[in-house]
Amino acid sequence: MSSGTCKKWHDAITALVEGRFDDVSPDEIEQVETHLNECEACANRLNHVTPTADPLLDAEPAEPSAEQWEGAWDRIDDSAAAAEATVREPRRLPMWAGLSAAAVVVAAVGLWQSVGLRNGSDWAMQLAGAGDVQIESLEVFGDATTMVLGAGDDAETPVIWVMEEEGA
Amino acid sequence: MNMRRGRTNLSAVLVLALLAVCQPAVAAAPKSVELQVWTIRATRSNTEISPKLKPLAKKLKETFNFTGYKLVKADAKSVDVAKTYNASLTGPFKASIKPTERTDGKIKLAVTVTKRVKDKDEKKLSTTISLKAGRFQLFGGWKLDKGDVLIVAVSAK
Repeated sequence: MSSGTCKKWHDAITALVEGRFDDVSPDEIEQVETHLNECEACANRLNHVTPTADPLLDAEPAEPSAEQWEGAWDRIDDSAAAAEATVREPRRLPMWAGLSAAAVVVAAVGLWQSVGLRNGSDWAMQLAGAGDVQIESLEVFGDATTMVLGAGDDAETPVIWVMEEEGA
Repeated sequence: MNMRRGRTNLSAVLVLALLAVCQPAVAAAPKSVELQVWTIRATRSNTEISPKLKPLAKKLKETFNFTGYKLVKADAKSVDVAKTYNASLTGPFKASIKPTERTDGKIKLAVTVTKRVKDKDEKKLSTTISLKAGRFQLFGGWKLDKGDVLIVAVSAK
């Protein structure tokens, strides 16, 4: 390394050795580090220096005073009051709006039931059993004949069946 | 002014709601009967069974050799006792059902099936049955096209 370069960083290195860190800019520190990695003579100037801890890092933080605590609580109270003031009261709908909504729901249910009755969609097929039906009269016409068949495994479902002559 | 209009609208909505609620209640009044008339086409040319007819297909499997049951239409009507409901079935067939009496969970029905032939309705069946409310009674055997057969399921409650 040239002595010119060493001279250039002499003052900065001196400041670092003496602990005057505020006299050296971060950019200068970075360049000094680069120079020390390349220049053994300048690096030797720092060999005997033992880094000392920053006194601020070792200092115990001071306990807040009673006044400071009081001030902190006052600020918290003020912030909470301001936040509460910004919460909006829920908008109250007029009574008729609720009644109308309820009426619409009731009307919809009623119409649904009505439509269900008309199209028979809510009826499931439950076939009559033998005990569910009595045939009081039964008549067919022309050449047809009729009989009541018992359908199902137990022959319990009556089916009124009409048999017509061919071509009828 | 706006308040008055709002009240008028509210009254109209409430009246409509009341009418909608009351309609089923009127239909379920003791003097009226809810009728169901289902028109079914039984066939041997396919195996399609309408979902609502699965109980019927299971019951009729052993007695008849049909493979498919199609629900052609399901008519529903609320009628007063002693009033007749006329339903078109399929093709030339029609049915008239008259509830004549309602007692102890049973409803007496007069059922007539006719077929339109040469501008005239010919009677094919006339019967009176007393049926447990909500149960379906089957009538059938009339020939349709393609070898299919008409079955009519009637219920009342």
